[in-house]
Amino acid sequence: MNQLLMKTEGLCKYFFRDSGFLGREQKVIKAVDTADLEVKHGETLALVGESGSGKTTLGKTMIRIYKPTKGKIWFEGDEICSVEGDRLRHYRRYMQMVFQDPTSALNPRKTVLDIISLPLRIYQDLSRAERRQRVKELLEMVELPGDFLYRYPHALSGGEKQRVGIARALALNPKLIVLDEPTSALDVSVQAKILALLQRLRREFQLTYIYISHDLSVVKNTSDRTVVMYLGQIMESALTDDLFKSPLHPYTRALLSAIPIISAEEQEVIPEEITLVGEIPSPLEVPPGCNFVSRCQEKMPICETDEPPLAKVGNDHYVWCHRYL
Amino acid sequence: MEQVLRRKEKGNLARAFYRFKKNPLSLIGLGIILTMVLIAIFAPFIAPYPGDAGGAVHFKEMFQSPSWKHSFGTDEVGRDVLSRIIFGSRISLTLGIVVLSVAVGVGIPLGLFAGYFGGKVETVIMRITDIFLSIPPLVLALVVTAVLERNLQNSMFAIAFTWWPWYARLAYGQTLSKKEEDFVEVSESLGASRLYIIFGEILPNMTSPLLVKITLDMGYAILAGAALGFLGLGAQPPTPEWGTLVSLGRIHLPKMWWLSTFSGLAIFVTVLGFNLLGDGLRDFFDVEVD
Repeated sequence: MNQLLMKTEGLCKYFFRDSGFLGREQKVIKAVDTADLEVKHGETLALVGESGSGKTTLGKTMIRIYKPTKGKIWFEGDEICSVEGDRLRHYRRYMQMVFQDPTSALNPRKTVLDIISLPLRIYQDLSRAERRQRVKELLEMVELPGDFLYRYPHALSGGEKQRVGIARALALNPKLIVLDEPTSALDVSVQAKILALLQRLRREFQLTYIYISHDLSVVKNTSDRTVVMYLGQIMESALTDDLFKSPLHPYTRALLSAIPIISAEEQEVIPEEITLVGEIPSPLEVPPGCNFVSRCQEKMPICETDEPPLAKVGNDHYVWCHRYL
Repeated sequence: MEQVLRRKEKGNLARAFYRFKKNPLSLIGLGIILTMVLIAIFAPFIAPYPGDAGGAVHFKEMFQSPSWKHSFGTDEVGRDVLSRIIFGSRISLTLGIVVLSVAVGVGIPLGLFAGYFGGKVETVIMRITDIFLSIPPLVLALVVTAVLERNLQNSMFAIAFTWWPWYARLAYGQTLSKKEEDFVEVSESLGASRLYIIFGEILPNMTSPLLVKITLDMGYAILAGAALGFLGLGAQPPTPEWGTLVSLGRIHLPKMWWLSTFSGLAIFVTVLGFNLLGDGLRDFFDVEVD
């Protein structure tokens, strides 16, 4: 359980945009900046942060959907950041993704059979009948009836589409699945069912999840560890229970205080309300020093000039903030 | 169970046809085109004087006005105008099919590649496309036919030469929007080949606008072919090409009015048919084509 599945060191993903006359200036968007992460076998690691914090980009870069700009990624001890071609394909089958928008994730011109067959066609040498049999099994795993094989995505509900997306991700027996807000496009009643399905699949197939979300109440109940991101950088990383009990980074505290409270029990856990002023800055104009400095209510002079160092504040609890040195 | 589903798909088709039927104009268009295709296929059996399609000469019967014997009259060497127009449908439809096959076959892959690969590939392909689009098609076709020998094959080539950039543009625009969809990223991350992604994932998503544009363009291509024929740069006599027939009859206007009128009407009706059908399909698929 505590074996390391994936580790990243100084992982960066920058996007470059030409601007100015004839594109002579190049602007750099640091979508993910020096991310250090560890993912353990069988755990659910949550990436949280508001829109534009780079959590989706980090997830996609970790499983090499995006090519990293800098840094290192180890998958089961193998460095996979610089591998290409067939070697990369070898690792890709173990790392799959479930997308936020199930409609966009399924080609509207293909049947469910074709959609789920694609990974099988690329990686496995099966006959048509064998493939169909396997797709039927996969549909069963995600609790869809076998007669969905010949349906087109437009004939499916949002939840059913997402199940098809999950079935496709499972097709090659992956070890790691990046779930990019898998329920945020769905109705509340369907959300719970999809979450329960994902939990069941995780136990059944010993899967490791990277769960990208901005729904903190879901994260609290489903993930083992939580990583808080802001403007492309990791702010705090801790066991989920620790993080919700004793959030340290000013941003984490503000984020947690924004959770809608229902029970009195929750009331005790969550700090008094902190309202952040302003918007997340444009990733084109990242402030010097700490990324959070423009909205931090506890900033010190050093925050304006120096990047915050990493501080280990407890068992598996890390925070990138000058206040905890 | 699968049987049931198959039947259900068929049910969708039936419903699609029902929706299409509700637009009477597009049905008229479909009717015109089907009639034209049948006429073209069975021309030797339908034409009252099949021998008159070519260079036959019957001086005794020249310049007869429409009658029971010759419904559309006869021309300057006594050939039956109706028979010649019936055989002309073969030429016009062939021209339309050949021109569009070439234009689609060349333009669509170029547009797909430009849109999918971007960068230098896009710059080269799309700038060449822009150059072609900046010259009026008929003028460009005139230049090409003027350089080459004047015959039907070369006029088809000339029109196709001016036509592909529109398809490159259509495919390019569609590709730009489709390649941002997550299903393309899924295929990429699974390591599917680029050719599969372009032709297997992206291309099927542009069939509706493509079908509409091809239908509308059949009419315009036939019109362009007739224009070249009229100017004497396309099919040469005695080929019974409609544009050529209009042009040959023109010098006998207004007295021998039937020569140009009926061949002109044939062009008109065919182009109208494709336009009505194309408009109907456009409403049906609910797509925009430029």
